[in-house]
Amino acid sequence: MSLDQCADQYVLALAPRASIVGVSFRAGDPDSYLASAARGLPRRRATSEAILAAAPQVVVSYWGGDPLLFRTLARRGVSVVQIDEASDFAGVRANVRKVAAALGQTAGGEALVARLDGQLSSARGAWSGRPALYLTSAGYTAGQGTLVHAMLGGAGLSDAAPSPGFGRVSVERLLLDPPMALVLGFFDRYGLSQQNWGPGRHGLIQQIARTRAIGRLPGSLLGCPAWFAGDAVQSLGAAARRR
Amino acid sequence: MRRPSLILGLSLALALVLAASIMLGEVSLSPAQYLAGFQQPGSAVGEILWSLRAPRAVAAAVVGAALGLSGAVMQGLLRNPLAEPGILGVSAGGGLGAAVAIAAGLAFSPEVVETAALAGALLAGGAVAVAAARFREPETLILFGVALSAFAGALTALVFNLSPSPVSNTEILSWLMGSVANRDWLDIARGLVPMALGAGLCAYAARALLMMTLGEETAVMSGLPMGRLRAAAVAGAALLTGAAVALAGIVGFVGLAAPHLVRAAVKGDPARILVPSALAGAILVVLADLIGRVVPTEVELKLGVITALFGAPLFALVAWRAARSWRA
Amino acid sequence: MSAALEIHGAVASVGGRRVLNGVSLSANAGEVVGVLGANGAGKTTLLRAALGLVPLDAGVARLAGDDVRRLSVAERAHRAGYLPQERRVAWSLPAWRIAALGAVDLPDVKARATALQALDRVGLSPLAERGVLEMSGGERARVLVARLLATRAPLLVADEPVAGLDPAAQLLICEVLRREAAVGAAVILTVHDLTTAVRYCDRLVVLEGGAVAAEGAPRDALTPAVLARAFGVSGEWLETPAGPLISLETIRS
Repeated sequence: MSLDQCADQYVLALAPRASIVGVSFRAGDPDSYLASAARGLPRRRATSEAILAAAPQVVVSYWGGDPLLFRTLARRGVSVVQIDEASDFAGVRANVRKVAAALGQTAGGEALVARLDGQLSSARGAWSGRPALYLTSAGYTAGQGTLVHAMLGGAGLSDAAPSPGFGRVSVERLLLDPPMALVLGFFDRYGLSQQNWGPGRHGLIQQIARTRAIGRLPGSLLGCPAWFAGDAVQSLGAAARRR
Repeated sequence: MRRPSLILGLSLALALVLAASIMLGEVSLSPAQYLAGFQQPGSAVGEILWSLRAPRAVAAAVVGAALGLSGAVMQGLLRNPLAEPGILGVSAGGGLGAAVAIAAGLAFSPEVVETAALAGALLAGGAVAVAAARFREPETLILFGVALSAFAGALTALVFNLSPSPVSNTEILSWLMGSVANRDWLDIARGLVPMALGAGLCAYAARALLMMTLGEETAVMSGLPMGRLRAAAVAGAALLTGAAVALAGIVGFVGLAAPHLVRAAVKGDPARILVPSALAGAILVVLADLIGRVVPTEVELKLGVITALFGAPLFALVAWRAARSWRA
Repeated sequence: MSAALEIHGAVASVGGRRVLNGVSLSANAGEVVGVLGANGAGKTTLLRAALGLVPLDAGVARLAGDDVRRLSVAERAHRAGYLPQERRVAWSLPAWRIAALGAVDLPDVKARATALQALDRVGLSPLAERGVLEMSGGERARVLVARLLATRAPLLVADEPVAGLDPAAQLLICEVLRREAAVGAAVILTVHDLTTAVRYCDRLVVLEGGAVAAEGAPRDALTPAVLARAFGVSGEWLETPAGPLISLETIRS
């Protein structure tokens, strides 16, 4: 059983369908990577009563639930496996193997890892070190130590983010010294000019995005440290070949 | 209404509501399952009834009683039906304590967060108790509490601002919204210690609350050691509120609504309102928690959200009525 | 026997402003003392200082011979009952309950009996169970006087006990206080209405600017000179069949 949308992906990919006793309410949303696989599966609230009524053996969680809930579940013999933050692909592999082992599906886990590795090797060096800046609609970028940074590197891009971690993009700096290329994140959910008060509202930023974007990564690939980060790398690599 | 029958009536209502809280929940059970649950407490159904729903309902009752009593004491001390336990800044102090603990990465241990919340609440409560001994005017005490509340709120906002990750922010926010989910008997027992102490102090200060009906000066001249009794009332309310916040997060409006609901039955007597107010508070929170569990939203409604949704309109009504009587 | 209340050379400040500039007065058992003065003359402060509620910068206040600063809170309550000017009652408790607050030293049953007796004396027996906030202002004021009576203290200190009351209520309260004095209590009160003061007080103390401007029997204290200086009115004493009466007019300049 999975408690949030990221955990949903792991459970849907790794566990045999018959053994899935519950997924989160967000499993079928448009930004869920395996939304179609979630069709027909029971949706459960992340509360102890709902979980215990479904009687799972293993519960998978990324951000869903809370320590008190896990304490209650642990006391009743339900094992809780948590997906960790991953700052690189090694972390992703560790997550996949950890969850796969807990679900008793080590082979399935290795298959996903292999798929990821295949995508990484085919996209390696595609952009030959061209600098690119990752930009979300809320005005954030991802520097060293983030999975996005690893994704950019996987496609041979050099991350132009000024500092490690997730930081705000200085709009002035962006205008003064526009990066050679932009990789836009979450732009399927939110366009560049839009609902929140990010830099995307500004016409100049929108122009830069139009002319310099080399990739647009959908939210489904970005919100979860999972094997399908490889899809993002693959699409970036393919974009290089099209030029 | 004679007081013994009021207390009896409220106790009965509380027992009923607790029973409902155990019988009803997210999962609907058939009569056969209920029977199995009663006969075999160890079975899965029995587990749901007795080790999931029962401690949760009792935790709700305990939190509600503490807040109801604390609210009644504050209203009596400040001579104001709009006073609320949160007015002292104790709830905000507790929230700050929990926020700091969660942001510091200690969220994995609920006991640590609980202790941090209690510590924050008692720190704020101690400051107000000292103020209460020194400042005689209720207005001064209210202003002091409001300032303390605002300060704690500002520091909590700072914690959000500087927090290491959006995940920890979400955890803090979730804790702040208040809940009695997954509280077990040990959590409740831990909370009962400061609550019992607080209740004792409030009982000691009850006669001062009654005297305050006629104002500070009359109370002093009636031979009561007002400085000491005021400090006891505030310390008692702070302990009760702090323990409630530590156990369940911030659950607002109960301390305001519970005394209001029983005031007419005790004819306004600020000493006789204490026990009925505690019982009424318990009933309110058990009901609010039941609503949260039963309403089929995708995410379980948090306790503090439900009490706020019902409490805010009630607060408006009380304020409107009070304003009318001031004008009269 | 020492006076029920004595204050010598009292100097006191409130909020940084000097309010009392060396006031001395006493109240003995069996007499009704009225403290008069224009607004701001220091009447309320004087009473509060006499009870130890306002600290004195200089001088001493005594209750039944003992320095009020040395009395415990309980002992002070035993010697004096106080009715302050502030008459706000926070909750609508029944009248008898409010009156019974004067008798907290008694067990509940006796306190209630004392309260009912006191309510009877102020003419409010039929309203004993009524909530005080559901009464008229005048009735409520009488309940508060009943509470004062319920203290059974040998010294009754009342700040403006008849202010804002209708004439019948005013007379009733004054009669009640006179009767207390007649059975041995010392009564000291502040009052604005000169006619009432003259009629019901044995002795008057006139305050002006924080000092005693005149003291004595009403006829002796309220000379035309005092009336002009302390109250800004011109007054004339008249002999009537009902006793001496004072007639007042604004001063024509």
